Amino acid sequence: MNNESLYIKRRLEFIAGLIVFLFLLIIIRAVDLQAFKHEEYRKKAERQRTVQYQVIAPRGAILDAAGHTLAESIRVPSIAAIAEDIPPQSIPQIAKILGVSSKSLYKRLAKRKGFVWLDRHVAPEVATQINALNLPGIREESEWQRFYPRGAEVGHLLGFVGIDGNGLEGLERKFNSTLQGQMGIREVRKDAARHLLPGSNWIQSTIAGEDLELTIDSGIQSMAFAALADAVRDNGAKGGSVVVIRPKDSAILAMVSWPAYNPNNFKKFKPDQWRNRAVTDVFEPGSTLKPFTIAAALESKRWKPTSLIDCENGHYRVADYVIHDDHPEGVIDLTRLLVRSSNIGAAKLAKDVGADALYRILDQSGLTMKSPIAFTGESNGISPSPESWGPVETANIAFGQGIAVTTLQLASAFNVFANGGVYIPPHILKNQHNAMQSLRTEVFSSKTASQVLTMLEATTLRDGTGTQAIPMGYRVAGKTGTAQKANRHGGYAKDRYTAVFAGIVPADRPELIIAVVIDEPAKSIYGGSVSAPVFRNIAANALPYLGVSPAQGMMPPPPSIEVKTAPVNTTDNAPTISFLQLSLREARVLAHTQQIKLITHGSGWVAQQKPKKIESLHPGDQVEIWLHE
Amino acid sequence: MISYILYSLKNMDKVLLFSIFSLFSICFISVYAAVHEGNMYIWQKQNIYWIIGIIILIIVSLIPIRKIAFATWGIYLIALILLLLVPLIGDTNMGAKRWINLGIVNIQPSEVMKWGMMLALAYYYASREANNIKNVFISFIFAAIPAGLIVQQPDLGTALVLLFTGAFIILAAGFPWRWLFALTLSSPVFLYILWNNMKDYQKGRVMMFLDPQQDPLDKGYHVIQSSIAIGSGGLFGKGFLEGTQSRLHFLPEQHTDFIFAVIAEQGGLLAGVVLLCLYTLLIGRIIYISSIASSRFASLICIGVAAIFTLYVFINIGMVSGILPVVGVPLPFISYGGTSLITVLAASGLVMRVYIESKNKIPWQRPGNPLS
Repeated sequence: MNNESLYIKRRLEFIAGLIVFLFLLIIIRAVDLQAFKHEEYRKKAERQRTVQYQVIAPRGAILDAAGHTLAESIRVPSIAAIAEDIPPQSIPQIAKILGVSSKSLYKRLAKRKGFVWLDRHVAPEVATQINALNLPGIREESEWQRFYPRGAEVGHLLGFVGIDGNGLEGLERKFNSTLQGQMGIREVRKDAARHLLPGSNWIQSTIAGEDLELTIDSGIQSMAFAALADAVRDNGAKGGSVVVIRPKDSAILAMVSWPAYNPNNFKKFKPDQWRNRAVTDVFEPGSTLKPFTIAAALESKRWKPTSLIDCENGHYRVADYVIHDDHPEGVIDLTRLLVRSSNIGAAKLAKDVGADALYRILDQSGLTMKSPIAFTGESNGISPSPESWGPVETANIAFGQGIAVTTLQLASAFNVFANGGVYIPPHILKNQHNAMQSLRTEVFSSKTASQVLTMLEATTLRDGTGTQAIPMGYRVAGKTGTAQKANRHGGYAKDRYTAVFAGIVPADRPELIIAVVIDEPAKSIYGGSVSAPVFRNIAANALPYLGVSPAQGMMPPPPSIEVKTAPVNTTDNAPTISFLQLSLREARVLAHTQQIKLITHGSGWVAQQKPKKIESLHPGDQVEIWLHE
Repeated sequence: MISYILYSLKNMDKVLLFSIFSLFSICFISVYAAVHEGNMYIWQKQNIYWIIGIIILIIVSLIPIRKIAFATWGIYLIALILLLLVPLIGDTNMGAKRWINLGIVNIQPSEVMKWGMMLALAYYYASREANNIKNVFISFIFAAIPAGLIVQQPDLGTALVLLFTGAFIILAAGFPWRWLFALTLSSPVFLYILWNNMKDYQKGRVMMFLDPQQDPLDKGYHVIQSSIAIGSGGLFGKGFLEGTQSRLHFLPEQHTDFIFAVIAEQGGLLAGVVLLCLYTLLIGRIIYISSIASSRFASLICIGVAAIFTLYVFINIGMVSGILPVVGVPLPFISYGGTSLITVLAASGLVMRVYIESKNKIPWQRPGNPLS
């Protein structure tokens, strides 16, 4: 080897060293990235290819007592997007499909980063069209929409659910945590073009909400809703509410309010219409409180149903305040007091038994506190404590003034008379039946209860105030009430009344407690003519529905039943057919079954008919009736 | 003739062949991994390029070095003329004019020039020493003229490869150590003076070139994504075909310039080190062949080939792993692409020829005129 080649060799060694040095630099960098910063880059990669979002769990259904669905969640498509991933040039296309202006969509996307809903609960065709575009950053998601098959009938009771799956009103809100289940977290992978890839992993899976079984009977709920709607319309009233309770366990069978709204479309209605007036609104119970005053008197043992009391012919001064009676009476017994609804008599009884004894009855009957259900927005009612009752307050409360209750409170308090003096708090969840039994409170003796029940039945007979409450073939124990509404200044407003009826039917074997409150009726103002017919309407439909047969012979035979048993065209010994005392609806039913033509005048109850005496009816005959309230 | 071919084939260097075959295996696997979802034709084409390339390697290894020397200046001049024609008749692609369309094939004059210049410098120094200013200056001109033309295209990456290749050859040809020492010490001063004389927009371009992450949407995006792919691969990788970043197309150009990220993501640090060891074996062997070459011309050719391979590997992996600016330089033997693969295999054939000729007793010996 000569000098020359040695010379070259030294240089080659240097060059080889240089090359090794460069490769070492690369290896150092690779070690840096892959060993020391591996975790950091692994996370970066993870973040880059995945998007996480929350998934609403399917919400539990709400069922009535028979298992019919009152509310359920339905899968509907929604359009989701990653705002910054949507190519701006495709915005007009998306906007066109979604039916919004591309300008507003552009603005909305420019403002946001990350996950946004472009449109929620869309029609399936819209989702299909969006999918067909196959754009980056946009994706169909399935969401749950709440559906209420019975619509407005159950609106107030159930409330509704917001778009993010939270119950906002009613039972949906009250039992939100039970119904809602648990949100899941889902992870979707996306590729570099930001297309979200099919398939996804659950980081945390959803837990479906539990079903809620109510004591509500949707048949009765429907009947109550229809009856209330008719009454509010016929009387030009502002609103109203009805509560139906089953006496033996205080289960709420129906609860409706007016004005109504459709929970499937709640946004179209004013928040004022969402209010479940049966529990949120209070009214002065008026005369419907008198049975409790009488019960307090009977419990004192100083009074019997036959005890006499002087009703002062309609004028009675308590302190510097004069009490009036609408139907002035002289000396009458307690039954007559209730039948004629004497304020003076009630005031005298209250004075005799004292504030504490009366308050105990009201308190133990649940009139001073909200129900254990604690509905959303439920009121406690307004009841001053007995220490603050002076003579005037005591007298007023005896006939239902200066105290305010909810429809639910009134209905469950009336249940005490049906239940032999025992108060059971109302409940609406089917599984709380037993829990309620342990909360039973004896308010007064069963003897007192049955005595008051008998007296209450008398108010619906003959010259009582509640005659219009009686469905044909059933006995009713109930009480009317007509209360002036309080005005803003602490006094009473002129011409603004609450018409109330609360009753028990059938009186001999209680199946239903129905409390009807009509707010500011315009035509007639009395509980007896406004609310009692609602009671009758509901009872007449609900009792046969529940399998409770009308008692024959108790009442003048109801024509509709009589007619069916006898052929219409037999001439001899044909029963008399009468439309008298029937409601318009009942008259129409009768006319329909007989295939006759009916000409009607006015509204209310049939007062006159032409021909006066109907011996026989043939299909095609014509009957003219005049109705009166 | 046939005995000549048989003789040449029998005397091929087994180590060189082994390292090339190993690189083929890695190319075979990693291009498959990069394109197996939907673009399988790319993998098939790459295998055909390998077959063509190996045939060309064998053909080149049959050409005597003397004949190569004969063609050297012709190749250099043709490449120079083509480079001059590029601004006039070149095709514009992605903002740069680099290609000339010859009807059947597109050729990239800068690619031809790289090899032409390497041969020219080897020829020039075959009978000279790089120990006087005149020789160094003349050889610098050979490299600087094409480099200047290539910068205009613009293709700074190839221009730098050209200049550094030239530097390697000049160094091997006896560039005095003290000059090298002085140059290394004074280069910061030169760069400082240059920087201060540049206009603001020029400075901006240089900054963007040096730090592409400033522009995270374009070239910066590439580097960020390849760093993520490599880093998330870890020590042992995510497994064959399990690379999430490459499969979900976060990794750009994954079968061409950024294929190292695919290898590092799926095979981890381990695969990266194995690949670099193979390159070290290949390049080390080329330098060894340079040391036993039968002529100074042949020896310098090997230095040039080794320099070009090294620069490709270093610039490519440096760029993919984010320590060097992004320039379009493929990973030799691995990146998809017919031109690049066939050229590196042809260059390997040249080295193979040098090895074959080192075995026999051909009269012309180093140093001296390569044509004599």
